[in-house]
Amino acid sequence: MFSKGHLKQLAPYLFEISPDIFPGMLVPARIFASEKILEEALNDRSLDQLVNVSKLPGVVGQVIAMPDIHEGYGFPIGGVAATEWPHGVISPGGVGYDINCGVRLLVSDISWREVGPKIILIADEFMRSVPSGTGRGGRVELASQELDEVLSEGAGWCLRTGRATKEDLTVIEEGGCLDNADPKAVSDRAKARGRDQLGTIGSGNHFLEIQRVDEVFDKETAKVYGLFKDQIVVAVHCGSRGLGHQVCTDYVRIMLSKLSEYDFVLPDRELACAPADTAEGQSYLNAMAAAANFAWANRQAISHHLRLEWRRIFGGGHELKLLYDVSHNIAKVERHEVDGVAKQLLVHRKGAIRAFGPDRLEVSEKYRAIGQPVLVPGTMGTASFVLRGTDEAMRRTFGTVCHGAGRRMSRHAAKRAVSGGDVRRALEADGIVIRCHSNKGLAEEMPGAYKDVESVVDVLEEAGISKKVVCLKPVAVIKGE
Amino acid sequence: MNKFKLLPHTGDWRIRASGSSLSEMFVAALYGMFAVAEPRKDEAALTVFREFSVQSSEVSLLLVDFLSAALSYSDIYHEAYDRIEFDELSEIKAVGKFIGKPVAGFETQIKAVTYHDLEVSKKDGQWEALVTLDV
Repeated sequence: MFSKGHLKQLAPYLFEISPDIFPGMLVPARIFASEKILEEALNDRSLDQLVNVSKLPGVVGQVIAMPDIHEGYGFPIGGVAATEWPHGVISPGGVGYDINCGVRLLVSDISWREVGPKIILIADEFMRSVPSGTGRGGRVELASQELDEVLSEGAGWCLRTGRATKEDLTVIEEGGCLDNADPKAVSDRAKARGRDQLGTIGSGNHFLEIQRVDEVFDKETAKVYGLFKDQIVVAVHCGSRGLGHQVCTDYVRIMLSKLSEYDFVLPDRELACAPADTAEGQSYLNAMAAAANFAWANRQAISHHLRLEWRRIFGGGHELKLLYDVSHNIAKVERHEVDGVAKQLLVHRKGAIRAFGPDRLEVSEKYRAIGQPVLVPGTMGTASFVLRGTDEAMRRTFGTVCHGAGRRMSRHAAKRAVSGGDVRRALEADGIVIRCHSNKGLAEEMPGAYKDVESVVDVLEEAGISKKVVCLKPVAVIKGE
Repeated sequence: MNKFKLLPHTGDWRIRASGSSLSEMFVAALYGMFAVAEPRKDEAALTVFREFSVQSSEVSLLLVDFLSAALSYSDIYHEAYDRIEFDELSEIKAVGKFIGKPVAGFETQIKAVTYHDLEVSKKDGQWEALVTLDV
């Protein structure tokens, strides 16, 4: 079992577990955290899990925990690991069950002064237009051929079918499509789950949130990103729904059954993996890409409906534009330096987002000079942040930062601590409009169940791996019918 | 009586299911999973039957496959299951039907049945399982 004595502080907000501490570690494990966040991380097994990840065949550089770290399955959530491409492993647990769960931010051209009087109407219309899709389908049911096209084309399918603009695709990570996607690598069961889920938000910590730009920290970057004080923006947080969940389930099972063929002995079944250049590894990568494409199409389809409602309420002269869309559960081949040598690596981000600094070709041209927008949502009722990627992140974290606040309390404990009705009343007392079909899920997502997002973001800022641009405060939270 | 208990886990839900037979334990685990999901059943609708057949190398993996099948069908067909008819059940194979009702929705969507801290054991004639669900 892990203890504080195993840690060495390398710098303010950076701690390390040296590879000679535990047998089998191939690389150091590094944790970006304040002292308080580190104490919280010691309360669950997240750091033990990080040590396990450092033992994966082919892992290089260092494995990294972000300040929102908490216990996951195999990989900790808030965990980053890179393996040699193409012979190092790919691990579905290093991506997560909700493949390409992610966040996008839509920005309006109007301020709270104009939106405020209509906020209840907007929240009601957003609620009506974006179903949760749990237990019943969404508004779109895809035929087999159409679903395969979504899996192949991602957000490109939305462009083709009138649900996206060309400009949208330029500000989505990977242009909203991983081109190695193969619908044939996705099981019939996964496709059956996803067939009626396009345009649905899911449940749990997935949400739509209408937010107000509360504070501008970096005026120059805010201007490039099109952000201004009191502006109204809309955040969308959701993923690949049942399709992605099933892809991960299918491939963890397949890889578990093949472990002895590779002579792998893993400390945790959820670390099941295969070398990326084997049939299983390639098949998973292609299925993961297909599921990722579904998630991008999903967030784009949801945005389409939100735009229709926005236009209906404010007229055609006011549009919601897409600032950026980031994934926080994904694995991608990227070029990074390890010990001064540039290499192709397979970077696993599990509850962690890409945060590329200036001059990276992967970043949209309009942001390339200044760095990629980094979207870090808080929890219900708390702040969210837009930051920008930095060169420091490229040097230290494979261009990665945290994805949110990180849980610190179980759902069980949260439900015992407070009722959903109390959470609703507290948020409403703060002037936040809440729309969800029942109170039951609200307790599990209460702000106290998560770390303080401002403390988490402060670690990124102090460590230099991302820089704050604006702070956003919620004015309405919508959880889907 | 089917016995399950919901246990705390930082991100998600954990079920401890027990039974005096393998089938009782499997049924208890199924009940526990749908207790987490909290279906809003359409009680007036006709009862539904979904055939399943799963096979694994050992009983803990079989339990995950069994619950995963129920979860998948639940998501595909918008149903919740509260009974099972086993045609065959051993430590490596389970065949039968899930029986239940259509649903109007679930309070909680379960993403997956995981292998995290998975345990299945038999002690003093009692089967016990610990399963973690990703929510």
